Amino acid sequence: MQRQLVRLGSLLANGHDDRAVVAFDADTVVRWSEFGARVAALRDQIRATGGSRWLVFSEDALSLAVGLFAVAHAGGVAVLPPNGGRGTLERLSETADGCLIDIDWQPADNRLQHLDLAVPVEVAEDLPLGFSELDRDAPFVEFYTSGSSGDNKGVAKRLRHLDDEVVVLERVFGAAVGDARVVATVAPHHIYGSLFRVLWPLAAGREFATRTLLHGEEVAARLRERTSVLVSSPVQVKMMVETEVLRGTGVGAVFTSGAPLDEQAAVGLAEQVGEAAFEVFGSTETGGVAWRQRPAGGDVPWRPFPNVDVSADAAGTLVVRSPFASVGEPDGGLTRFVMGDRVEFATDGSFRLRGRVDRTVKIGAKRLSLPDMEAELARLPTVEDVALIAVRRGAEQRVCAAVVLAPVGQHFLSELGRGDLGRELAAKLSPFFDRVLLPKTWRFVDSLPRNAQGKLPAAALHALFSTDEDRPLVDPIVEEESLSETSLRLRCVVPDRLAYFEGHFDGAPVVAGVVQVRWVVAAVARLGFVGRAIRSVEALKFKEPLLPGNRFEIFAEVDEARGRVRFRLMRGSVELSSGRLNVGEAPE
Amino acid sequence: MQMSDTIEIDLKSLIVDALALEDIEPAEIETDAPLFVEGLGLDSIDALELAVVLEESYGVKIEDDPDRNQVIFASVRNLADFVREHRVK
Repeated sequence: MQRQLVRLGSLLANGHDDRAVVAFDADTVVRWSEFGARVAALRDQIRATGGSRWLVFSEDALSLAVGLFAVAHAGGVAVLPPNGGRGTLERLSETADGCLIDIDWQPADNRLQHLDLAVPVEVAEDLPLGFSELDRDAPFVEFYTSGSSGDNKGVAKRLRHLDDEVVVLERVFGAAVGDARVVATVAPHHIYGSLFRVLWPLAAGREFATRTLLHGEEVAARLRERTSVLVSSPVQVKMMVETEVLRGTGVGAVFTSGAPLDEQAAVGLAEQVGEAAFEVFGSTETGGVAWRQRPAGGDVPWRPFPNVDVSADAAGTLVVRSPFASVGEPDGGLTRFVMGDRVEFATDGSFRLRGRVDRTVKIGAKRLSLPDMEAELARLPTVEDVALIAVRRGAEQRVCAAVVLAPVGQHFLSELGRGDLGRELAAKLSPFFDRVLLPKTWRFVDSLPRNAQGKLPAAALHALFSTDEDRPLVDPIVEEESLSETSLRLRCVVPDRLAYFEGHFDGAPVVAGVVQVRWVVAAVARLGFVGRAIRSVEALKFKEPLLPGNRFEIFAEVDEARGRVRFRLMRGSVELSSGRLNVGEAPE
Repeated sequence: MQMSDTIEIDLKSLIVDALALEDIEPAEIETDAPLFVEGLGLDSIDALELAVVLEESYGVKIEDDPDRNQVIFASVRNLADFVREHRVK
């Protein structure tokens, strides 16, 4: 049964029954009365503080909702970082007036107002909270994507963009979801997570899980408690199908978005839970565009959502005109956005995706669709997963292949070695592709560097093929070194391209603690501890982030009697981290 | 080692370096094995790049003559014969 929706602008002014449950965790529930009280308390604090752009970050879906609506009812706009990395928060906070967070982070810029999203509130009975309707045309949120192209960019949405999409989601999927509650394995701060696990449940009055569940067993346990639907990603569903944890849980609808669902996972899920996943295709810019179910696998075409108009331009690229789109050209009350996908329409208006436009490359006057070649490679029994990129070498681009081998492929790798196996695989492609298009460089890896959304960041993929000269560094650049018998001081710079940054932090890198310790251990080796094992690392404290380009100092002091080395990393007078190494006995 | 072999050895290093071939040492390239399609699996773009490097290293000009080039580039041995005959450096 579809539900009667409360429009997002009216949720708090004139919404659901105060006693009804809005969200739940393992042993707790939160009622609408408490939700309203939390939003009102923060709204008042934001008003008192002033400022309109508020950084909102929480891993907790309810707290994120509290933050979104508190900012909106205070007349501001919420800026949602794509992750809670310190570098990301630091960078996005530069254009914000304040931050509304529940994690342990203080912006370096103390101009920034700082409010605690998790502050508990008294819920008073029958106290008017003073909510008015929200303006549908007001800016509501800015999402930040960590796109496959590698750069983070903000996408602003007005309330109506999301509100109109929620109405369509209920129209299309409402009957399949029914009275189920909503369990999720994807973060709430991307557009898909925020719509499917927060805003749509809020509007429909469906209870949603506050916590993002990460383990298949935990997901299964939560699904078994009560009739639930699952908001998930292609990568996670694939894993849950492989481990069969969803079998017998009685899960209702399963949603995925961000990338196509693996064919075997699609078929396996339908078999294990009795209903195929609802795959949702869209983008942060456009919101939801289309959906499909593939109980028997195959290249089932995508069906556009109601009110969304799709077409192809002369080059065969997908063009979306949608009330949910917030980026693009205004077009008859809708917004027209050209997506980066090649598309092929069926006569009934549904469409098949034919690869990303930016994934067509030209080599030696020959044109190659990298997805076509990936599909051909993926068909080989030796290959489990594959990603191709074109990398410039000399005057021309050449194709490079990153391959996850199937067990039989592993066997060939140990028999033949990398070079011969690569040439063998290229030979398998030669009946289908011009010689100049065949991959020249092969990397056989345990897994492809996909991020949590199942996407392959371009930078991470390129890093697999970088040559020695531009290979990212693994060590700090040492500028100055002073050693005594029992102490050392190194002045260093963090390289802008550090190997450890690749594939992490979505473009806002920090030097991880484990890397800092590694550098300290390497530095301490200069003190004549070579050959003596570091037994343990104790009293580690990481206080401030160490960032690319930072000039910093490593100080270490030996306490020979106790077999210890104390160390600290300083940036100017700011202590970044400290700790001590316990050193083994001197060799006999 | 005879002097005449050194061009073959140099050419093998030159091929590996110029084409950034991985997982193969110059010494592993067989002097008489085919370089293109089979064997090393080189292609027409590789041939163009090799031609540039050969001109830089030995001053040999490789004309746009597919039939002749097919012979020149057939193997390291053929390439070395061509270089010996036409080199100006």
